Amino acid sequence: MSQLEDAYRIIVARRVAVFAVLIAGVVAALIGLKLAHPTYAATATVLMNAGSSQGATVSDGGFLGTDMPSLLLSDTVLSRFAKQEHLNNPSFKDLRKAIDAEIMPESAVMPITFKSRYAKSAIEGANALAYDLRDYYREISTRRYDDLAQYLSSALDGERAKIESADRQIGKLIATDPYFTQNEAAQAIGAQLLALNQQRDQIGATMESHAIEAQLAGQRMTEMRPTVLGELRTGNANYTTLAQQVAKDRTAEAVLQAQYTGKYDGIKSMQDQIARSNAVLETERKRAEAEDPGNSATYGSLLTARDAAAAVYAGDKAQLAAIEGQIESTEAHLAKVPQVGVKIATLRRDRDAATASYQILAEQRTLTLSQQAQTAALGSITITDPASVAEASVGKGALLVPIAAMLAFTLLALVLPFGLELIDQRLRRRETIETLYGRPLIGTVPA
Amino acid sequence: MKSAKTNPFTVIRATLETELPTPGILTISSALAGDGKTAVAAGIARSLASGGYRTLVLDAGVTAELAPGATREALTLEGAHDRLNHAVRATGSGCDYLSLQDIHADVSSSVGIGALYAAIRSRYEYAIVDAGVLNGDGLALARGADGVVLAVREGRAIVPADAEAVELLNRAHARFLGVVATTERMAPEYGSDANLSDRLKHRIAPPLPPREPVAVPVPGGVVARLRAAVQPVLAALVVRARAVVPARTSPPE
Repeated sequence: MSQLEDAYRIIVARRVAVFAVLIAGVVAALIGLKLAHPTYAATATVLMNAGSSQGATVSDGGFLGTDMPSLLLSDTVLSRFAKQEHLNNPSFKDLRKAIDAEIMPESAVMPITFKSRYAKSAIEGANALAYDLRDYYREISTRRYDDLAQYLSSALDGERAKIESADRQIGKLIATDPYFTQNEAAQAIGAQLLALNQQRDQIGATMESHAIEAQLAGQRMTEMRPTVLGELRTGNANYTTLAQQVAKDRTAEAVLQAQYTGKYDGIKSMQDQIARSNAVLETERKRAEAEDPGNSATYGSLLTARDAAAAVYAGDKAQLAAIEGQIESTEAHLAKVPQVGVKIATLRRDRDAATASYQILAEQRTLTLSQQAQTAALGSITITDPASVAEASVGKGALLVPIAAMLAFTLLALVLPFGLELIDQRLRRRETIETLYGRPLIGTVPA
Repeated sequence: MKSAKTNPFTVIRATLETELPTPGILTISSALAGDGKTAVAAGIARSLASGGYRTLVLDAGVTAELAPGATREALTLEGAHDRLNHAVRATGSGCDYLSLQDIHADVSSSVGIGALYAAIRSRYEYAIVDAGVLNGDGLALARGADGVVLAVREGRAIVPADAEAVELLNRAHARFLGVVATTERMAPEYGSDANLSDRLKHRIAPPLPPREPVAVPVPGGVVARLRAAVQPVLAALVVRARAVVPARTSPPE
């Protein structure tokens, strides 16, 4: 209690200083409150479409709706925002403090609030953040289509350059060569040459089959020689007669052997006769087979077929030779056509090829852009309510200054008497006197 | 400092009644001039007088200037009794008043002071000596007294004289009882800035006849009665002890 009483006494003794400090604190707080600059807050509302709504995943970007505040506060968006607002050396930490964005529960709506010391800056900032978020999200969602579309665009540029180059060269050649119509002749000759080549190829194929047929006809003659020899033997009267006689003798021998034993002489004489007849028959067979094969009908027909195939093959060869001659003459003719015509034709062929490629690439690019647009529509952010009004409020920071000043001055008012007491070298306290004189204070006059 | 709602000298008187023998001589001094020792002396004297004690106030603050070359005779016990018989004056506060300059003798030596104090003790229960600052005669007056109280002006700066005063009292083996703090705003009843006689509202009166010791009225209450019974015994013991060993009071470490 005595310590409390001492503290009370010290404060009372310095009450003038205490009141002065308290009044100074009140004055400082009032001045701080008067000078406190209001903070303006503007809100722009964005709506995340179905692809990016709460709890759903974006088809391409892979973002959740709950990621949108993080995306808004990302360095990329803040960098663009700072650049757009012409902020020099922006502090992302301060910017994040000035931004308030949160997905509304069970909703795809996200209000974006931006606070600034100026109403206009607050409105512009909120809208800029909304647009930057929308653009950045769209970039992320359609980035792969961007790469493809960029590749197709560059390819289209290349094909277009080819076409334009071909056109320029053709125009230049036409301008420098007044006989450019010859290229039409060259085209005609070229077409004729192409037709001749096709015809030659066709004849070549036919000729090859005819050659095979002729070869088969020759082989068939070899294969049919036994038949031809049979026909020659049959056509020989002596051989036929002898053969019949030998057959009769063999029959008689068989009868004798059936009727008699081997000891019968008649059988032996019969066998001798047959042997003699066979010898004569063999001689006669050789003579018959040595006769003109033209006597054989089969041989004649085979010979006719072989000759016909050979004739056809020969005809093909002759026709092929004739066409090759035509080709040679046509090529010689074409070679005589001036070079410019050929070059123009080549350029026109190249131009046609480039045009065809250009059309294909253009179709692919159109398809890519349509897919990109579809993807962007599925996962896009729509600014439903741009900021137009800024609400002024005295923020916590503004109130904090007067409160802090008041508290600081109050604390100072409480501490000041004790501080003054510490540095005060005057005899004010009982303890000071008793310590100084080493004896108790037995009274104070007056009380 | 603790404040008292009653008369502060009542509290001081209670302390002195305990600390001082009877008869007892109390010297009021100070380290610096202007610390309020005269007001304290007057207040204590009036308080003791109002308590029924035969009280003398010895005004040693002002001494008469001697002519160059003039000397004073040393004060003896008889001389002291004689001075008390003729120089003491009554005051309006109930206590007697004696100015040191009315003694016309040398009281600067311990012998003179001892004779004066012995004469006073034989006539009064308490004597309050307004001794001036603690140097020279003040220190001699303090040394022979039964107790010393220093007056300190509250609020003034600490000066080396404060420590020197304590050192002087220790060297003189004076019985340093304590300190009385005074403020600049003294209550009117304690007197104006005039001298001690004015503060005691004295009236010019002829020297008082010698008084016989009278019984001190005992205040009511068991404690007071007990104190009154024990106090003379203690005082006698103290006097006897002082006869053997000089009183010495050292400040606590």
